[in-house]
Amino acid sequence: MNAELESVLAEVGRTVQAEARRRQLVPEIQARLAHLESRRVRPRALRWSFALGGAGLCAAAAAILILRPHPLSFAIAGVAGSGQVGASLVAPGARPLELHFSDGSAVTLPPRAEAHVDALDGRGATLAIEDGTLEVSVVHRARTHWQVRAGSYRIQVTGTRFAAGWDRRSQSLTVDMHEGSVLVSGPGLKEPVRVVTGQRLQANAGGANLGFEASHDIAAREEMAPLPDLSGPEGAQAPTLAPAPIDLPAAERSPSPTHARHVEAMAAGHAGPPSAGDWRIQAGRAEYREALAAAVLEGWRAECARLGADDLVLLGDVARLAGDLNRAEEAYRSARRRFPEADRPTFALGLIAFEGRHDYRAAGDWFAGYLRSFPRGPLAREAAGRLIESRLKAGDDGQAREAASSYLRAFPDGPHAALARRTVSP
Amino acid sequence: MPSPTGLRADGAKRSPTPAATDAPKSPPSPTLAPAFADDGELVAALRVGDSRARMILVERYEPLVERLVAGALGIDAEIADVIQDVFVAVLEGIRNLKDASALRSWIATLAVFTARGRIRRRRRWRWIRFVAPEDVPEVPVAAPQGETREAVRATYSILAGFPADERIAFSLRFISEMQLTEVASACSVSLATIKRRLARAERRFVEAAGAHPALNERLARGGRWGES
Repeated sequence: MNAELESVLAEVGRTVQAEARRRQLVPEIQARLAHLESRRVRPRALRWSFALGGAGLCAAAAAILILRPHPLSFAIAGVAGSGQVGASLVAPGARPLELHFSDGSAVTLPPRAEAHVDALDGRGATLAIEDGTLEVSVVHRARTHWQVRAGSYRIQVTGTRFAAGWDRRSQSLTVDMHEGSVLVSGPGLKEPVRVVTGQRLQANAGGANLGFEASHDIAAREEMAPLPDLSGPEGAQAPTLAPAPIDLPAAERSPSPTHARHVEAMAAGHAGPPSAGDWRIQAGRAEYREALAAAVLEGWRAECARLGADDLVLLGDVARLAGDLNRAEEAYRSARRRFPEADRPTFALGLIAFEGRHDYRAAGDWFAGYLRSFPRGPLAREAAGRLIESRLKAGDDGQAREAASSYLRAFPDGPHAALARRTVSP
Repeated sequence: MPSPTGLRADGAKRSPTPAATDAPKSPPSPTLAPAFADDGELVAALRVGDSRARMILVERYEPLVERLVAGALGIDAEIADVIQDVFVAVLEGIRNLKDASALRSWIATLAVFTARGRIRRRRRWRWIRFVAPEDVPEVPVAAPQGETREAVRATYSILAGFPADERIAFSLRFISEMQLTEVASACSVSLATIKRRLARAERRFVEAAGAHPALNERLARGGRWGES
């Protein structure tokens, strides 16, 4: 294969993988699997008997389905016949109105809410909210395509549960995600915003807030709590890579202009929900998930392309500490590409591979890369130690011994020295 | 340049070596707790339907699946569906997995087979023209810009004409940059078979690339790619 063509194809690979990473699919996959699990109520034997019994029917139906895909239909609880596309749906004053769709999805209009079904096709439905809050539960299937409209907002849905509220008077949208994720676009949002489980998006033409559902339970919060910083081995004081200024290594404590701005912002304090533009303040208060949400609202990719080196690394730290490893990697990679003189992004990528992905080969490559690029960098000792650990955990004893020998030559009294000695002479 | 994903078909050994057991430990993380640090424990927990294990499984192996599927399908609105199908297959088949240490390579194989199934299914649907299920993206797909966009489009347009097996082998080898042995393992064929398959696919691709304006011009110029 022509070398140039190989490099073209490798670039194509990096591009499609970057695009896939940008979509942040892990929460969506988690939610879909959880949803599927919750629907598996029938015992296996019963499912098999249903499957066998229905096989003949399915075979006959398959030919019809292939010839002409059926659009969904829906029924209104307590009303005979199918619901009509375009017909106004207004819940009575005292009780909710329930819509059941033929794909198993369901929508509930609370009392006095108004909506209509705008369109139905073989892949899903488009709902339009006139006023009030709809509880939506969409069953994911292949090529599911559901959409909710509210004023000029569009909520794109696959399989998920959420509440979408539209206040006609204030022209404001509220989305509370119970499970899964949706993509929201419309006034006040610079780019489509993905709202994931537990988040609440409030938006109007003047701007948007991305916070948390009031009812989001503590357990779920704890499950998504920030990563602790990594302490060094054997009680050593290791660089923590926490956002400035709290736990920066000594070598990085000299304040830069942007750093000083963070400190000022933090000193000023901040009240109220996170909003676009104030993610640094949230970061300074160690509210990493809130800071990440605010940065996403600010326009994640635009931030990655626009921010200076310090802020971009801080953004990566925020995403990492919020547990969003894909976004953290995106920010750090952007920092490496745009500011090759910055050493922390390379180390942080190694940390993510090691602690987050458990991909010890990749972690070793990152730490080795750090040492090649920044042999006297402020994190060189830690990178050298982490390199030994990575190689050992990857099962590559030869490279581990090599890394350990290098470590002992450079840092004979370093915190990984004991491990290095054991590795060299087991 | 370090490998961004570090994917290897032989896989990083999950069980720490004796020396690694002595390695300094980092404090446990609430989100990435070292529960099921060993694939054997993970498989055992999955077999009894442990939902935490399911989450760890996705957290640990989604990047691998995403890499393989994205390489095979390109920028694709259905990628989440395909990845979901892979994990559904993993969860349904986990009881039949005999060797827990083979989990990683087994998942890679399932990802390859699922992606190949999706490619074949699309081809069948395309043949029945009046159904015309052209894939409308569920979410806006932010395509890369400029030359890279053209190269991505050209590459997958050429690959669309390949037999599914050749397309998969080619994309794993040259787009996902896997080693030959890894490709053979993921495709469940011998090394000799994968070499033959790749040789055919390479010939097809080189010939088609030479005739494709976006790739031909790029190859003739011989410069580096523009930033996407």
